[in-house]
Amino acid sequence: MKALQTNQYERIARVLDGCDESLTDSERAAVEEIRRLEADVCGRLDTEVPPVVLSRARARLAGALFRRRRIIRLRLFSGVAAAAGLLLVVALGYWAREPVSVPRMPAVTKVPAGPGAAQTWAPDVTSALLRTDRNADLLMLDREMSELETGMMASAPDVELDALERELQDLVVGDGTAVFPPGL
Amino acid sequence: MEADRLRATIASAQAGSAEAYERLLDAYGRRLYGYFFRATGKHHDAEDLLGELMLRLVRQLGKYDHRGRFEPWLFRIAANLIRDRIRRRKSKPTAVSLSAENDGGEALGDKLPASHDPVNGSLVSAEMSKELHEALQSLDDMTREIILLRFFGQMSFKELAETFQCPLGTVLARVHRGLKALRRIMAKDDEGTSNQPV
Repeated sequence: MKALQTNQYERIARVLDGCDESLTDSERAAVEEIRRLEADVCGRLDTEVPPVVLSRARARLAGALFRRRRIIRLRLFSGVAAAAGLLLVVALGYWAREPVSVPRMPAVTKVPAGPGAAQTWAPDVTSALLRTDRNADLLMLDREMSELETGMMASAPDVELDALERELQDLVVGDGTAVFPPGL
Repeated sequence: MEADRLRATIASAQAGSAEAYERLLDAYGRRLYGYFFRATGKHHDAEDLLGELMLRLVRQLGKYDHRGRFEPWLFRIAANLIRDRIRRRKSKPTAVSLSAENDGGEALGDKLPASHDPVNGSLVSAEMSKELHEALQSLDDMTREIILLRFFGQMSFKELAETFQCPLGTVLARVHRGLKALRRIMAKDDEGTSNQPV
């Protein structure tokens, strides 16, 4: 048989794969020869499989599937654990940012003026201030502080009354030459 | 296995069904074992490779997308396993001389049982056609692989050309030459066997 060219082999391969191709006589002969060779040679390649081989392969397969299932379960568990952890972190964060109930302020309406006034801040109010960072809370505290300061500030009539009181005491405990202020 | 049934079995296996995997092993186990045996010439290697292929199948079946035929996909994995093993053997030879003596003057061969066969002695000796193995080994690696995949993997020439990334004509030319060479060697062996005195 004349040696075939690569393009002829391509046509023959397509025919052997089941496609329709028009072939020359030599190509058709090659097709027949290859079919015969395959039937003859490849038939002898076949081999029997000992049953124990398949049962061992089955056991390995079962082992591999068991391991795979375990890995999947482990991954699933890890995912759930990670989600739960994340939820916990978010919840803790939210709790930390929750507005702390500010304890009742000490009565600020009747704070005596003077240096002792600064001590009217209760320690729990300070800690509340430290624990919260929310703007609303800060604004509220700021407003309350302003009110407190306003309350602590001595008003103008108070100052006048204080001055009069001092003058009156000077007059009572002083010498007799002191002059009464006009109107007294 | 019919195409529809195969598709359903693969889908079940992809979903993790052990029964589906077993059905695949029943359908392809024999051919895969034959392929491994003819490629390596050793039953215990073939058995080991078949087990390894099952592990790969469990790992990789999820990637199979039903677009191509299943058999070429499966046998490509099998061919890769053989290539890996040959590469490993070449880089790490593990041959030990059975006649090498230890400090006590005992050879390793003396310690082995007289007949040691991991599978089944009688069956293996009946099957172990040394001549056929030698005939296959006389072919170049690619031609041998193509012929084995053509027979055991039932791959078309087009699929073989895609697998080996070479022209269709080249694949068939190799198969043609390889089969002729095998038949020549087998014919000689047959003559030799028939001429032997009884």
